[in-house]
Amino acid sequence: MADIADVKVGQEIPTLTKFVGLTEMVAYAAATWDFHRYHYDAEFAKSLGMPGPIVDGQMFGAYLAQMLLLWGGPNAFIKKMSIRYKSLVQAGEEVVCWGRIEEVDPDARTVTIEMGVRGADGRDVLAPGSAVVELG
Amino acid sequence: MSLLTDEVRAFIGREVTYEAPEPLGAAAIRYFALATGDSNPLYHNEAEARQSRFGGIVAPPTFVCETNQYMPGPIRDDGNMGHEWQLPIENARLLRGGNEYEFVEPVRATDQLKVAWRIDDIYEKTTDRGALLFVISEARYLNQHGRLLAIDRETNIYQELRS
Repeated sequence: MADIADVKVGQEIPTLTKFVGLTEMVAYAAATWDFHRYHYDAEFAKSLGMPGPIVDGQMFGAYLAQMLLLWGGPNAFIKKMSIRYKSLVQAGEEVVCWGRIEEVDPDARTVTIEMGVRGADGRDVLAPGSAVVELG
Repeated sequence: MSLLTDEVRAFIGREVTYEAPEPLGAAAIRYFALATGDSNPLYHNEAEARQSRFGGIVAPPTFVCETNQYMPGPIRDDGNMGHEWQLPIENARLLRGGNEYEFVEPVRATDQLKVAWRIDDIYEKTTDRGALLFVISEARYLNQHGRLLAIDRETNIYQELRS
Protein backbone atom coordinates (compact mmCIF):
# COMPACT_ATOMS: atom_id res chain seq x y z
CA MET A 1 0.00 0.00 0.00
CA ALA A 2 1.54 3.27 -1.09
CA ASP A 3 1.95 6.18 1.29
CA ILE A 4 2.03 9.66 -0.28
CA ALA A 5 4.94 10.57 2.02
CA ASP A 6 7.11 7.83 0.55
CA VAL A 7 6.35 8.24 -3.16
CA LYS A 8 9.14 9.86 -5.19
CA VAL A 9 9.30 11.01 -8.80
CA GLY A 10 11.10 8.49 -10.96
CA GLN A 11 10.20 5.49 -8.82
CA GLU A 12 8.99 2.46 -10.69
CA ILE A 13 5.92 0.70 -9.40
CA PRO A 14 5.92 -3.11 -9.42
CA THR A 15 5.21 -4.49 -12.89
CA LEU A 16 2.29 -6.82 -13.51
CA THR A 17 2.69 -9.72 -15.93
CA LYS A 18 -0.43 -11.21 -17.50
CA PHE A 19 -0.88 -14.22 -19.74
CA VAL A 20 -3.66 -13.54 -22.23
CA GLY A 21 -4.85 -16.87 -23.57
CA LEU A 22 -7.98 -17.67 -25.46
CA THR A 23 -9.69 -18.70 -22.20
CA GLU A 24 -9.01 -15.29 -20.66
CA MET A 25 -10.26 -13.61 -23.82
CA VAL A 26 -13.49 -15.60 -23.82
CA ALA A 27 -14.02 -14.89 -20.12
CA TYR A 28 -13.51 -11.16 -20.69
CA ALA A 29 -15.82 -11.17 -23.70
CA ALA A 30 -18.54 -12.82 -21.66
CA ALA A 31 -18.01 -10.62 -18.59
CA THR A 32 -18.36 -7.48 -20.71
CA TRP A 33 -21.21 -8.76 -22.96
CA ASP A 34 -18.93 -8.28 -25.97
CA PHE A 35 -19.04 -11.33 -28.16
CA HIS A 36 -17.21 -9.83 -31.10
CA ARG A 37 -16.04 -12.79 -33.12
CA TYR A 38 -12.56 -11.58 -33.83
CA HIS A 39 -11.72 -12.20 -30.17
CA TYR A 40 -12.30 -15.97 -30.34
CA ASP A 41 -13.28 -17.07 -33.88
CA ALA A 42 -10.08 -17.79 -35.83
CA GLU A 43 -11.79 -18.05 -39.23
CA PHE A 44 -13.61 -14.78 -38.74
CA ALA A 45 -10.44 -13.02 -37.56
CA LYS A 46 -8.53 -14.26 -40.60
CA SER A 47 -11.31 -13.14 -42.92
CA LEU A 48 -10.68 -9.63 -41.58
CA GLY A 49 -6.98 -9.88 -42.35
CA MET A 50 -5.85 -10.69 -38.83
CA PRO A 51 -3.46 -13.57 -38.11
CA GLY A 52 -5.87 -15.05 -35.57
CA PRO A 53 -8.07 -14.05 -32.64
CA ILE A 54 -6.88 -10.74 -31.28
CA VAL A 55 -7.03 -9.43 -27.75
CA ASP A 56 -9.57 -6.75 -26.91
CA GLY A 57 -7.45 -3.69 -26.10
CA GLN A 58 -9.72 -2.87 -23.17
CA MET A 59 -8.31 -5.86 -21.30
CA PHE A 60 -5.06 -3.92 -20.98
CA GLY A 61 -6.91 -1.02 -19.37
CA ALA A 62 -8.19 -3.44 -16.76
CA TYR A 63 -4.69 -4.86 -16.21
CA LEU A 64 -3.21 -1.38 -15.81
CA ALA A 65 -5.88 -0.50 -13.25
CA GLN A 66 -5.04 -3.71 -11.41
CA MET A 67 -1.34 -2.82 -11.39
CA LEU A 68 -2.07 0.68 -10.07
CA LEU A 69 -4.31 -0.54 -7.26
CA LEU A 70 -1.99 -3.37 -6.25
CA TRP A 71 0.52 -0.60 -5.67
CA GLY A 72 -1.90 2.00 -4.28
CA GLY A 73 -3.78 -0.29 -1.92
CA PRO A 74 -7.44 -0.50 -0.81
CA ASN A 75 -7.73 3.21 -0.10
CA ALA A 76 -6.44 4.38 -3.46
CA PHE A 77 -8.78 5.69 -6.13
CA ILE A 78 -7.83 6.02 -9.78
CA LYS A 79 -9.10 9.37 -11.03
CA LYS A 80 -7.88 9.27 -14.61
CA MET A 81 -6.34 6.88 -17.07
CA SER A 82 -5.19 7.75 -20.55
CA ILE A 83 -4.24 4.92 -22.90
CA ARG A 84 -3.41 4.55 -26.57
CA TYR A 85 -3.40 1.23 -28.39
CA LYS A 86 -0.32 0.64 -30.48
CA SER A 87 0.05 -2.98 -31.56
CA LEU A 88 -2.21 -5.99 -31.77
CA VAL A 89 -1.79 -8.91 -29.41
CA GLN A 90 -2.76 -12.43 -30.37
CA ALA A 91 -4.14 -15.12 -28.08
CA GLY A 92 -1.41 -16.82 -26.08
CA GLU A 93 0.89 -13.87 -25.46
CA GLU A 94 2.27 -12.72 -22.16
CA VAL A 95 2.31 -8.95 -21.56
CA VAL A 96 3.96 -6.76 -18.94
CA CYS A 97 2.34 -3.67 -17.45
CA TRP A 98 4.73 -1.04 -16.13
CA GLY A 99 4.47 2.31 -14.37
CA ARG A 100 6.77 5.12 -13.27
CA ILE A 101 6.00 8.03 -10.92
CA GLU A 102 5.94 11.32 -12.85
CA GLU A 103 4.51 13.79 -10.36
CA VAL A 104 3.52 13.87 -6.72
CA ASP A 105 1.00 16.35 -5.30
CA PRO A 106 1.10 15.97 -1.51
CA ASP A 107 -1.72 18.49 -0.92
CA ALA A 108 -4.16 16.76 -3.27
CA ARG A 109 -2.66 13.39 -2.29
CA THR A 110 -2.45 12.47 -5.96
CA VAL A 111 0.27 10.84 -7.97
CA THR A 112 0.69 11.03 -11.74
CA ILE A 113 2.09 7.85 -13.18
CA GLU A 114 3.44 7.22 -16.66
CA MET A 115 2.45 3.70 -17.65
CA GLY A 116 2.26 1.28 -20.51
CA VAL A 117 2.07 -2.32 -21.64
CA ARG A 118 4.80 -4.25 -23.44
CA GLY A 119 4.63 -7.53 -25.30
CA ALA A 120 6.93 -10.47 -24.67
CA ASP A 121 9.19 -9.19 -27.47
CA GLY A 122 9.49 -5.81 -25.81
CA ARG A 123 7.28 -3.97 -28.29
CA ASP A 124 4.79 -1.39 -27.05
CA VAL A 125 1.33 -2.94 -26.96
CA LEU A 126 0.04 0.30 -25.49
CA ALA A 127 2.04 3.45 -26.14
CA PRO A 128 3.06 5.11 -22.87
CA GLY A 129 0.04 6.73 -21.29
CA SER A 130 -0.68 8.11 -17.88
CA ALA A 131 -2.84 7.81 -14.79
CA VAL A 132 -3.69 10.01 -11.83
CA VAL A 133 -4.15 8.07 -8.61
CA GLU A 134 -5.45 9.51 -5.37
CA LEU A 135 -3.86 7.81 -2.38
CA GLY A 136 -5.78 7.24 0.82
CA MET B 1 -9.06 11.76 -51.15
CA SER B 2 -11.02 13.08 -48.22
CA LEU B 3 -12.62 10.76 -45.68
CA LEU B 4 -14.52 13.64 -44.13
CA THR B 5 -17.55 13.56 -46.38
CA ASP B 6 -20.68 15.57 -45.65
CA GLU B 7 -22.39 12.34 -44.57
CA VAL B 8 -19.66 11.66 -42.02
CA ARG B 9 -19.50 15.28 -40.87
CA ALA B 10 -23.25 15.23 -40.19
CA PHE B 11 -22.60 12.85 -37.29
CA ILE B 12 -20.84 15.53 -35.22
CA GLY B 13 -22.94 16.25 -32.16
CA ARG B 14 -25.06 13.14 -32.55
CA GLU B 15 -26.20 11.72 -29.23
CA VAL B 16 -27.64 8.42 -28.08
CA THR B 17 -28.70 7.49 -24.55
CA TYR B 18 -29.22 4.01 -23.16
CA GLU B 19 -30.85 3.01 -19.88
CA ALA B 20 -29.91 -0.30 -18.31
CA PRO B 21 -32.86 -2.60 -17.61
CA GLU B 22 -31.35 -3.74 -14.29
CA PRO B 23 -28.69 -2.71 -11.76
CA LEU B 24 -25.14 -3.84 -12.46
CA GLY B 25 -25.26 -6.51 -9.75
CA ALA B 26 -22.61 -8.07 -7.55
CA ALA B 27 -22.20 -11.10 -9.82
CA ALA B 28 -21.32 -8.91 -12.81
CA ILE B 29 -18.59 -7.20 -10.78
CA ARG B 30 -17.15 -10.49 -9.59
CA TYR B 31 -17.35 -11.85 -13.14
CA PHE B 32 -15.25 -9.01 -14.52
CA ALA B 33 -12.67 -9.34 -11.73
CA LEU B 34 -12.51 -13.10 -12.30
CA ALA B 35 -12.11 -12.64 -16.04
CA THR B 36 -9.22 -10.23 -15.58
CA GLY B 37 -7.51 -12.40 -12.96
CA ASP B 38 -7.94 -9.74 -10.29
CA SER B 39 -8.38 -11.16 -6.79
CA ASN B 40 -8.68 -7.74 -5.13
CA PRO B 41 -11.12 -8.35 -2.21
CA LEU B 42 -12.78 -4.97 -2.87
CA TYR B 43 -14.53 -6.62 -5.79
CA HIS B 44 -16.05 -9.62 -4.00
CA ASN B 45 -15.53 -9.53 -0.23
CA GLU B 46 -18.06 -7.29 1.52
CA ALA B 47 -16.47 -7.65 4.99
CA GLU B 48 -13.06 -6.57 3.74
CA ALA B 49 -14.44 -3.91 1.41
CA ARG B 50 -16.30 -2.37 4.36
CA GLN B 51 -12.94 -1.59 5.97
CA SER B 52 -11.75 0.41 2.96
CA ARG B 53 -12.55 4.01 2.06
CA PHE B 54 -15.39 2.66 -0.09
CA GLY B 55 -17.35 1.08 2.75
CA GLY B 56 -18.44 -1.86 0.60
CA ILE B 57 -17.89 -3.77 -2.61
CA VAL B 58 -17.03 -1.61 -5.63
CA ALA B 59 -16.39 -2.43 -9.28
CA PRO B 60 -12.96 -2.42 -10.94
CA PRO B 61 -12.51 1.07 -12.40
CA THR B 62 -12.75 0.29 -16.12
CA PHE B 63 -15.67 -2.15 -15.72
CA VAL B 64 -18.42 0.43 -16.04
CA CYS B 65 -16.89 1.85 -19.23
CA GLU B 66 -16.22 -1.51 -20.85
CA THR B 67 -19.32 -3.58 -20.17
CA ASN B 68 -22.14 -3.71 -22.69
CA GLN B 69 -24.50 -4.91 -19.98
CA TYR B 70 -26.63 -1.78 -20.23
CA MET B 71 -27.37 -2.43 -23.91
CA PRO B 72 -30.65 -4.08 -24.87
CA GLY B 73 -29.18 -6.42 -27.47
CA PRO B 74 -29.65 -8.54 -29.56
CA ILE B 75 -26.20 -9.83 -30.43
CA ARG B 76 -25.39 -8.87 -34.01
CA ASP B 77 -23.92 -11.09 -36.73
CA ASP B 78 -20.34 -10.12 -35.96
CA GLY B 79 -20.91 -10.92 -32.29
CA ASN B 80 -21.01 -7.30 -31.22
CA MET B 81 -23.85 -5.86 -29.19
CA GLY B 82 -22.18 -2.69 -28.02
CA HIS B 83 -23.01 0.83 -29.06
CA GLU B 84 -21.90 1.64 -32.60
CA TRP B 85 -22.19 4.91 -34.46
CA GLN B 86 -22.26 3.18 -37.87
CA LEU B 87 -20.40 6.04 -39.45
CA PRO B 88 -20.53 5.85 -43.26
CA ILE B 89 -16.74 5.87 -43.53
CA GLU B 90 -15.55 4.45 -46.82
CA ASN B 91 -12.17 3.31 -48.08
CA ALA B 92 -10.58 3.37 -44.67
CA ARG B 93 -9.52 1.06 -41.90
CA LEU B 94 -9.36 1.60 -38.15
CA LEU B 95 -5.72 2.42 -37.50
CA ARG B 96 -5.65 2.79 -33.75
CA GLY B 97 -7.71 4.03 -30.90
CA GLY B 98 -7.31 5.37 -27.44
CA ASN B 99 -9.34 6.00 -24.33
CA GLU B 100 -9.24 8.75 -21.74
CA TYR B 101 -11.09 7.61 -18.67
CA GLU B 102 -12.17 9.89 -15.88
CA PHE B 103 -13.44 8.05 -12.82
CA VAL B 104 -15.63 10.31 -10.75
CA GLU B 105 -17.32 8.06 -8.21
CA PRO B 106 -16.83 4.42 -7.19
CA VAL B 107 -19.25 2.13 -8.97
CA ARG B 108 -21.41 -0.26 -6.96
CA ALA B 109 -23.61 -3.29 -7.61
CA THR B 110 -26.73 -1.22 -6.93
CA ASP B 111 -25.96 1.29 -9.67
CA GLN B 112 -28.35 1.13 -12.60
CA LEU B 113 -26.70 2.79 -15.56
CA LYS B 114 -27.79 5.56 -17.82
CA VAL B 115 -25.20 5.95 -20.56
CA ALA B 116 -25.06 8.97 -22.84
CA TRP B 117 -22.89 8.71 -25.95
CA ARG B 118 -22.02 11.73 -28.05
CA ILE B 119 -19.75 12.39 -31.03
CA ASP B 120 -17.80 15.43 -29.92
CA ASP B 121 -15.81 15.97 -33.08
CA ILE B 122 -14.71 14.49 -36.37
CA TYR B 123 -11.76 15.97 -38.24
CA GLU B 124 -9.20 15.01 -40.78
CA LYS B 125 -5.45 15.31 -41.20
CA THR B 126 -3.62 14.84 -44.46
CA THR B 127 -0.38 12.92 -44.32
CA ASP B 128 1.94 11.68 -47.02
CA ARG B 129 0.36 8.27 -46.50
CA GLY B 130 -3.12 9.55 -47.10
CA ALA B 131 -5.95 10.98 -45.07
CA LEU B 132 -6.38 10.26 -41.37
CA LEU B 133 -9.87 10.67 -39.92
CA PHE B 134 -10.19 11.35 -36.19
CA VAL B 135 -13.47 10.49 -34.48
CA ILE B 136 -13.80 11.74 -30.90
CA SER B 137 -16.72 10.35 -28.90
CA GLU B 138 -17.58 10.65 -25.29
CA ALA B 139 -19.65 8.33 -23.12
CA ARG B 140 -20.95 9.56 -19.78
CA TYR B 141 -22.01 6.95 -17.26
CA LEU B 142 -24.60 7.97 -14.68
CA ASN B 143 -26.52 5.96 -12.15
CA GLN B 144 -30.27 5.98 -11.55
CA HIS B 145 -29.92 8.99 -9.21
CA GLY B 146 -28.29 11.04 -11.91
CA ARG B 147 -24.84 10.88 -10.30
CA LEU B 148 -21.97 10.93 -12.76
CA LEU B 149 -19.83 7.86 -12.23
CA ALA B 150 -17.35 7.98 -15.09
CA ILE B 151 -16.54 9.54 -18.44
CA ASP B 152 -14.85 7.71 -21.31
CA ARG B 153 -13.49 9.88 -24.08
CA GLU B 154 -12.63 7.67 -27.00
CA THR B 155 -10.53 8.57 -30.03
CA ASN B 156 -10.65 6.36 -33.10
CA ILE B 157 -8.31 7.04 -36.00
CA TYR B 158 -9.11 5.75 -39.47
CA GLN B 159 -6.55 5.61 -42.26
CA GLU B 160 -7.43 6.00 -45.90
CA LEU B 161 -6.93 2.79 -47.88
CA ARG B 162 -5.06 3.52 -51.05
CA SER B 163 -5.12 1.11 -53.95
